[in-house]
Amino acid sequence: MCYSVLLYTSSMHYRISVIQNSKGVILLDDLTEMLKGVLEGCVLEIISRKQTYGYEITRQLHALGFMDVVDGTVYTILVRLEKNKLVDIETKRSEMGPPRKFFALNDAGREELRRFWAKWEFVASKIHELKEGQR
Amino acid sequence: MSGLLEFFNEYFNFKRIAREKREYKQKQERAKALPEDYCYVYHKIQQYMWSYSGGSGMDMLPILADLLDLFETGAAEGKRVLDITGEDVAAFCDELLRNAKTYTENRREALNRDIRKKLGKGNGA
Repeated sequence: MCYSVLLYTSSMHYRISVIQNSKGVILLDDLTEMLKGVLEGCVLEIISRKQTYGYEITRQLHALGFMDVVDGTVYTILVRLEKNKLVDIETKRSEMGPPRKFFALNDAGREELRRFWAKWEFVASKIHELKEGQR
Repeated sequence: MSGLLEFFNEYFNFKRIAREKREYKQKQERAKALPEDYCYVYHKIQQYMWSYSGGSGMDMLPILADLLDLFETGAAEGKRVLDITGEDVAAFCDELLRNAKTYTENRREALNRDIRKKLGKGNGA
């Protein structure tokens, strides 16, 4: 089971994902650090499913259980995807606030997503191998 | 030659510079219209980012402009500014800076270039 807790300290408060299994409860703090390299792939995957915008992507990542991902993190990834020309952008009006940028993958983006999954599968399988102590 | 053109375009294209200055001023006006917390964080981020800028810093302007859009949307949705940037605003800025030319990047390039020059290409550099 995975859920998130809000942690309050004197100076700041933050959200932390928590995993509960048969061995007890484990705090997944600083998950962001580990996610850094793969979050871009996650965002690519979400965009590949349907044209979407920043805040919606954050919501989806939260729903997935990545509670400590903030809008700003997704935003910096989107800026990078735009700069690297991996997305097509359409600006649409919204009921509140300024116009929204909607993102869709272009051919280069789809190619990048394929590469991401290939790399992920390689890394995941190797790390699993290490953990299981196989050769 | 293209390097020279680029240089002139960067520093002596007065029409462009005037336009960018005008746009920058409009941005500052929009920033002032943000809720107080947002406005404060926006200005702090701006200060921090400028201090890292390399070259003419013109590539910083679109980043700050987009940031304004992000903040305006967040404010319109009634979110707190730190819900958007995360509590570690400096880390957020560093991610933003990855999209701009910074003086640290210039130094990193110089370091690698010097070593490549000394050791020669294909020599592990």
